[in-house]
Amino acid sequence: MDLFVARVVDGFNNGVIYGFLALALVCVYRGTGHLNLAQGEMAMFSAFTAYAFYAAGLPVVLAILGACVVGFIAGGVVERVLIRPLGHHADYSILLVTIGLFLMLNAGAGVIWGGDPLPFPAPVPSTPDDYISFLGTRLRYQQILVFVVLVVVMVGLFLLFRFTRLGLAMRATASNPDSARLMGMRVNQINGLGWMMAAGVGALIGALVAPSTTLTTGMMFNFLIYAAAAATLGGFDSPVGAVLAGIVLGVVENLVGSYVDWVGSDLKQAVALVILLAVLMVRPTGLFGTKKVERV
Amino acid sequence: MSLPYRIPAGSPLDRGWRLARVAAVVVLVLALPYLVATFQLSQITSALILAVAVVGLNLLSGFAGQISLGHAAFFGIGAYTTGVMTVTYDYGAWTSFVVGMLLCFVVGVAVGLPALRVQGMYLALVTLAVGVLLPSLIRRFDDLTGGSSGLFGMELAPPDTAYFAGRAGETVWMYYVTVGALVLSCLVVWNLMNGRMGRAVVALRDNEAAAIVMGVNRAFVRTVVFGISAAIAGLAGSLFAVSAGVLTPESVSLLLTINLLVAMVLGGRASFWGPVFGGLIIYFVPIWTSDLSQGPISGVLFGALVIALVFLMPGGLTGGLTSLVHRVVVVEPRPPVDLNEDPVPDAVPPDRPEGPGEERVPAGHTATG
Amino acid sequence: MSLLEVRDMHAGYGGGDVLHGVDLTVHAGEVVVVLGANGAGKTTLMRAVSGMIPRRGSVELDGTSIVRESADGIVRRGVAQVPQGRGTVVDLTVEENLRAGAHVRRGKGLAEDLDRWFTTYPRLAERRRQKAGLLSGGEQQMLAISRAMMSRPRLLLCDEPSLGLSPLLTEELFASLTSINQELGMAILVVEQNAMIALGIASRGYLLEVGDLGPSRPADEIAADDSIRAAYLGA
Repeated sequence: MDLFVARVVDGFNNGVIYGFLALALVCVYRGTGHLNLAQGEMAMFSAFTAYAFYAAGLPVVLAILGACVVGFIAGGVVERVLIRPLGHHADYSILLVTIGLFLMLNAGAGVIWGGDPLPFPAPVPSTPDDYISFLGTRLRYQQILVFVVLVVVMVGLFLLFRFTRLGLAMRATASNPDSARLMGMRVNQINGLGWMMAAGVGALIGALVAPSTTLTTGMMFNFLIYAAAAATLGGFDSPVGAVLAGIVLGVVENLVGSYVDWVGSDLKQAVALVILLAVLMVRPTGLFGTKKVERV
Repeated sequence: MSLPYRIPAGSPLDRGWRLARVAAVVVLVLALPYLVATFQLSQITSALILAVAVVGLNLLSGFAGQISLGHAAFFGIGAYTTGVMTVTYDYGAWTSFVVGMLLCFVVGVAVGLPALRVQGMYLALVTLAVGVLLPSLIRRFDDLTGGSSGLFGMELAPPDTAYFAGRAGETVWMYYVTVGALVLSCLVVWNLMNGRMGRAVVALRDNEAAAIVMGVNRAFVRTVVFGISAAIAGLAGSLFAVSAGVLTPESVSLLLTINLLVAMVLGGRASFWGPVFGGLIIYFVPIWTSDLSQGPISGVLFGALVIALVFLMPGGLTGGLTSLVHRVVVVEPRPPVDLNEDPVPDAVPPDRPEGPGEERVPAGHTATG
Repeated sequence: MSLLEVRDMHAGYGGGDVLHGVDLTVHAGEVVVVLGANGAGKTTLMRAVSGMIPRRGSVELDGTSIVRESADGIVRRGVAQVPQGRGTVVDLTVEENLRAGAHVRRGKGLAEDLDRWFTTYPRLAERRRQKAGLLSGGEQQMLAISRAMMSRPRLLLCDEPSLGLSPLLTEELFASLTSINQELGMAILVVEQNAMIALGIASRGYLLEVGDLGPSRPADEIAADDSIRAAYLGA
């Protein structure tokens, strides 16, 4: 029983990271309707930025917030300089630019901070004794913090999209950019804002999970794929769906990997992908996504 | 004489110009083994193997307009089929090539099935999932594939003649086999795109609803194109296995997919020469950038180059070269008036003759120079 | 001074001009109709006025040039458009579409305006929480008009509102355009293929023929012109 709970909790913690990064993907998708392949690397780079602030003497919390601000601004710059000039329908060009960014950031972090893992401090106490016992398993403060921040961000985004004038404009823009312009919305600025929010959220994730994963240039690589899976399952337009899907993926993946011998640890991650394939076959818009409805 | 110089299509000059280009390529291909060192020839072979894979990807993504982030998987299936069959079960390499292509075709059709339901970004994710699955499958079934420690000893024995003897001879042999595979896959794509199937593929890409109304069998066309595209990528994988002699899960990772994609777009999407240029770029540019500077800086340069080319050469290298050539020489369609007959009314468009070597590329896409 | 003053406007889609020097005037509070066959450039005219496609020449709103203004800026200056094919945001609910329509205004009076349009079109009120994509063609057209009106424009542009509607619905729709004009004093510019019904609510009309717009004439005079009846009214 204890082992089962521990495995659920482990999977849950992974799932939280998937869901968190999926939120960032959702922000970009909300804006431009594109998948940013460099999202994970932007988060990784921001985590290193936070490390730089910390190494320069800032307290951890301020260092993380500073990295979020830098990420937020950088996201806007990337959108303005590299994405917007390509136009709205240049799917391939945008995909390629995000691939180029991916390569640059990944290699760039290595150039600046070297290839070795760096220690990154958690903003909460994280000695081996800092945990809460829960049904016989240990919930570390660090993991609780990540989860709490995730919930806060998710609820914040949900409220923004659902109840504010700006959120309404973002949804209208993602769904029908031409109509949005005819309603007086500044579509380009709204897209830029989506990128900024995504990069800011990404910076938060990078810095928060760095203490558990250690800070390396490859830390986000695998997460991005599962985040994309989570965002797809959750339906790219639903922040709550993306987070739930991320957590479900994390838990199912860990349980199947632990209890089905045939799968084992090698194929554990494949479970998430098989779920993704299966769901897309049945519901092409994801589990929680709104079906595009149209009647002529 | 003012530039660009204009040549009427179908005139002797035009035919000569085409013939000259083909002749130049043939001469270059045949002369290369004598011009460059063995090591460089093996590098060129590796680049051309990538080009074969890009030809496959280009059929699916360039001509048919379907994004794939999973072509490394098909490459990997081909590579590991050859690896497992020749090393573990002692089959001949040629047999394994055929089996690998058939297997890739079947898997490609299977992956093409969800592509009937999902498009665009979702299709990208489905294929991404397939691409990420393969390396974990290879690790899981390590008794068959060697897992993370890899698979060794694949080779394609050259025919027993003096010309292909020794290490240098083997390299030349591998080079010719690769060139042959490249020509073969180009011909397959060319024939496909210039026939009934090609019109269906382009119609589906440009306006699916209209194509279906016109009687295009969407499911058949989409899945078969996916299958053929996968089989060509698989052939490239098999070649890679015998030319490199070693296979690891890393060699068929997402990075390979990214490289193939970059190669396709940089070479020139939906063009016939594009994949060749793209394969050469993607193989040699990282080598040059790492010559320029040590370590990860080369990665930064490569990424920057990818972004720069998207902005500076939107039609890819083929597009860039074509417009460069067009500043000097333009082949004009034949004027509509035929001297032997009454003048044809203006409304009838001139019909271009279908001479040998005639390249026809779907409207809206860059033709090769 | 007229509300909208277009002089020598050229516009097209990159492949050459569709409109070759168009002159058009709309005075405050009047309904003006532009008649034209398929392909005459009616939608191009609308998109050019609202800034959705690049245009040259002079376009003035209340004496201020808006020819360099962006599409969203023109909305903020008080020109709302009901695009062809309605342009509702299908993923938003009916109420969200209306709220989005009020994007350019700050909150004041939003609730009253929602009420007003839900009273005008009770069918929208019944479906306020449904996705706009689930509405019928007629309901979507009502939604598109009220959504445009939510921005409290000075000038309403309607691009073929009758497209795809039954004759009965078309009549209903033009009746409500008339009441919008009369009750709110709203200036309306309509482009239509359905000449008879459009002339019925307009004071002046233009004929658009492959990119050229003639001088305007009183609507009843056009309606009585036999050659026009033959060309547009199918009589």
